[in-house]
Amino acid sequence: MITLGIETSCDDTAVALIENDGKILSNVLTSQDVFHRDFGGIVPEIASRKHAELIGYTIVEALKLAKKELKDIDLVSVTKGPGLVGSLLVGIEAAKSLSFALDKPLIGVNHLEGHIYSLFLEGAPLYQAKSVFPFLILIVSGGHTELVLMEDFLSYRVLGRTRDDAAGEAIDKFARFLGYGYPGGPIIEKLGADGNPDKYPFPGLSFKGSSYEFSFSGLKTAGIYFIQKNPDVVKSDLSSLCASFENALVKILVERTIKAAKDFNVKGIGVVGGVSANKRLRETFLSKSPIEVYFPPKQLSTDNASMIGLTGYFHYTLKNEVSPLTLDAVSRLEL
Amino acid sequence: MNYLLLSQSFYPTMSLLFSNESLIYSVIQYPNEQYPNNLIFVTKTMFDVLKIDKKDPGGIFVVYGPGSFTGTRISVVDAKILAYSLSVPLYPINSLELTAAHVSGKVSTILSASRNEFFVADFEDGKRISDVEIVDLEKIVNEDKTFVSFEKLENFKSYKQIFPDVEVIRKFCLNLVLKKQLIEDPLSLEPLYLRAEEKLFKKIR
Ligand SMILES: [Zn+2]
Repeated sequence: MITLGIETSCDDTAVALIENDGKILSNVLTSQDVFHRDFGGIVPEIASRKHAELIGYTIVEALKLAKKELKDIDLVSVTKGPGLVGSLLVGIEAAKSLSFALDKPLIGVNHLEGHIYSLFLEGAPLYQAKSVFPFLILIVSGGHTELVLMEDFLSYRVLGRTRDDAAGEAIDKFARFLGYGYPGGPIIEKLGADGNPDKYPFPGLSFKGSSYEFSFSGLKTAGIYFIQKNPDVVKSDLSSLCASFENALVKILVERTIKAAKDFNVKGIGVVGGVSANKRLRETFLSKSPIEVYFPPKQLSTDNASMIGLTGYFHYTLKNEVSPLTLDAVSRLEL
Repeated sequence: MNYLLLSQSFYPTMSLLFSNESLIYSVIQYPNEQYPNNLIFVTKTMFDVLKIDKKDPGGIFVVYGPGSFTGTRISVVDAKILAYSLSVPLYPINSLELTAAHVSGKVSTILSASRNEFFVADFEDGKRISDVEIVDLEKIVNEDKTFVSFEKLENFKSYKQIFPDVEVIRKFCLNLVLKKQLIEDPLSLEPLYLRAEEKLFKKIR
């Protein structure tokens, strides 16, 4: 069975073909970075325009690389949300048109759920794994930070989210105050690679309430305040400053995740989403966690259509779910 | 030969199925809030009800703007993916030219571009005699021209709202077939925005 996946929730136009439970036949991603760079962030109208321009050719490319034709497609899976409405709509309309033209079922899936299945794709550590549950997932990206308990495929319990900024958002802001562009995460990672991560103290989490929730606005504010107060450090010790800020953020993520993993006695921890590619995050998890931690390969940790294809495949094959041709974009969609 | 037309550049939205001889089926609608983007759903239903093979159409027509950015994008993406996957020729239609086909004499056809701006072009008996432009309301609101639109406009001294006439649209489309005004590579079709990205957003550098 071949699933064509389409992902256009943000600024990357992505199309993939996967076979059965996660063999990747093609995984095409047309990045729009170059168009948004000059604007200092993603401009929704530009993202939608580029998606509309690129979607058709990205489908053609994915078919070509997979050495397949349109008639070989058995299922069309597309991100329905969360994300930018105008961007989502382009992918959804392309998927609906394909489903109609090819007479094949359509399934709209949640982007966050998609990130979870990046761990189960070919090349990822849980490819074709069956008995990993209960399993804890940390979704961490530019727009999301949440802990999800997975009792089985397609069965989720959200333990906690961020109360304010996502982890990726905090680090993007920190980078911007240092005068760097977007996205900030990889820039801070590079700048702080050789720095001393314990040199400058930044606050951890101190709020009362659920110990599975996150908050990054305090850390973000502390980081910005530090930059403003210590121009000399910015000038002479940027590497340790970046390493320290990144380390503080990583610590929050790792500590909360490991606590939840122990509390729920899970068999494993999966860390997914764009920030999961961060080296310090990976190393800290591996050195601190008594429970096995799994990461998707780097090329599958950022937004991609393979994960959307696989998520749709599971919904279709395990639950017989399909979406109607009235499928619409849902900009704020929760797991 | 049967043909399909899709439009979501302006309200009402349209899915039309017609032949060389007559209209077969038309859905001209102001979509409800629950299903704002139902063009493909409506189109599939049309084919199902009539038991017409979707590979049957000899061409797909799509209004590619100017008009609502999002609406135009939806119909353009729908039409080009359909044309590509069904291997059917794709014919782009300009919304203002389609409007002008409904009236004779000298008129300016017009559609809202939001932000108090309008897409406008001048026509004489359906033939365009000016560029398609985007202009401020103040610039044109007091002009003595006859403005014609599918939309209900306010403030204009002389304006006429028209409802899409399927017979006019059918003839307009068949004329495009006759003139072979199809787009060679359907996937290359892009909406006509007129408002450039650089003008929409300030660059930070
Ligand atoms: Zn994502």
